[in-house]
Amino acid sequence: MRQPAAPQDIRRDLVGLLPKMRRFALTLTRNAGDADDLVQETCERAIAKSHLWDGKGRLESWIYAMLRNLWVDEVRKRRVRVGSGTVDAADHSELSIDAAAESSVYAQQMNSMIMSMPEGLSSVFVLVSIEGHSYKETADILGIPIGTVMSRLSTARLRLAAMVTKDGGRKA
Amino acid sequence: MEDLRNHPLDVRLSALLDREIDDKEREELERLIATDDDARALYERLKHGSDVGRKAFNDMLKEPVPLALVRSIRNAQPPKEPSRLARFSPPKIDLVPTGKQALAASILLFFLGGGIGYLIGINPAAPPPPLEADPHGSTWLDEIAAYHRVYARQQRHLVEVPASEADHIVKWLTNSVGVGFKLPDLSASGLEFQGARLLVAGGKPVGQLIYKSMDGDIVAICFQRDAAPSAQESDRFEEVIRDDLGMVTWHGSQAYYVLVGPSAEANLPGLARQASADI
Repeated sequence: MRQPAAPQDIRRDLVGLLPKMRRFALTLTRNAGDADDLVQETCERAIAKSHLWDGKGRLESWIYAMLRNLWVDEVRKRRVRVGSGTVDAADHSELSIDAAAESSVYAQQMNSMIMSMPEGLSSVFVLVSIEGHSYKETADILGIPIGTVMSRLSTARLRLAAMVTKDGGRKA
Repeated sequence: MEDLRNHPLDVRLSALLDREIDDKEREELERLIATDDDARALYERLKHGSDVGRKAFNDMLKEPVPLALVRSIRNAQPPKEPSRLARFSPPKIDLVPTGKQALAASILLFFLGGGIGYLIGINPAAPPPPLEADPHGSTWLDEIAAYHRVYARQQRHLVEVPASEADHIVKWLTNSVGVGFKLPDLSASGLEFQGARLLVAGGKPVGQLIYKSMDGDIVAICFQRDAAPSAQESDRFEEVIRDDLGMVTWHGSQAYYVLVGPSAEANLPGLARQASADI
């Protein structure tokens, strides 16, 4: 359990973290409006509890764990199954894109494909492969075993590879 | 480190990409990739998936963050004190006085009250104590913010005296406000000096130096003579938000300063430090 430390103003750090927080929130909510609401609630909670942040380690890890916990609470409150997050990660259908599309459309399609990935896959991928968190940190943030982190990560990579063929063309 | 021997090959190769394996496992997998075509193809697919995902997720960071979200964070009030844990609670002390203690306290208060009454009696013309200990409290800042909102919208009459009369501005405001100063050069931060105004806030004159960014944002440095600034506060910069405006305050040797600009401007504290060094 964290020990209380001298209170510090983390608002500036939070503002700097906003783009990353929104991205991580999107991997959980798959909806921009929900993601922004979640980020705002997380920031309010983090500021109110900033005296609990001991200044050691990565601030992101503490914030992400808080964000993920708030999302779990929110899902429980809604008492509904949210998107495809309740589908087993390995059973989700594959997607393909048209490689001849213009770059902006391509980016939009990529974005929607990423968003359609099961929650468990994209959040693990972002934490490990993009932001460089260790398997242990990722497991702690998401509240899952390390073995699950590893299997989801591998599945995420294979699914992403299947979305776009190596030469940039459409999936076969 | 997780024992990988019981995991499928794709999971083990994925862990190899992340360097989350021990040396023995790494050597074994590298040997397998070098000799087994299927393992090599699988490893390449995993690497390709990483590259595709990295590009797509990094593109998400380019999307602009809603300004309302930034403001809501900057306006949020941090807790003033950490919560106290139960084990740090002070021991309970029985404060009910005994009869002798009550008598002694009554006598002490009698003489103390008499002494204060005597001191007031011999100096009846003394002014009443000020209602607000800090003359540069929130009301003063509110007045500065209100001025800024009005003047920053002025197109033709943004300033009272234009920047072309820089020497006059320095003499005029030095005499009017009672604070010596130099005009800070904020051009390195993209701010061009426009001119100055003389304001009144808290019943005292305030000098206002006005700057404009290339985007048309207005940033002003306001200063008011401060009779007795404490040495402890002289290096302290404090940032407050007034809705759409951000304000950074600090004390100088003879004045109280505030830099005011749009709250969305992230570098207001940096500008305040630069102004503090130059002014």
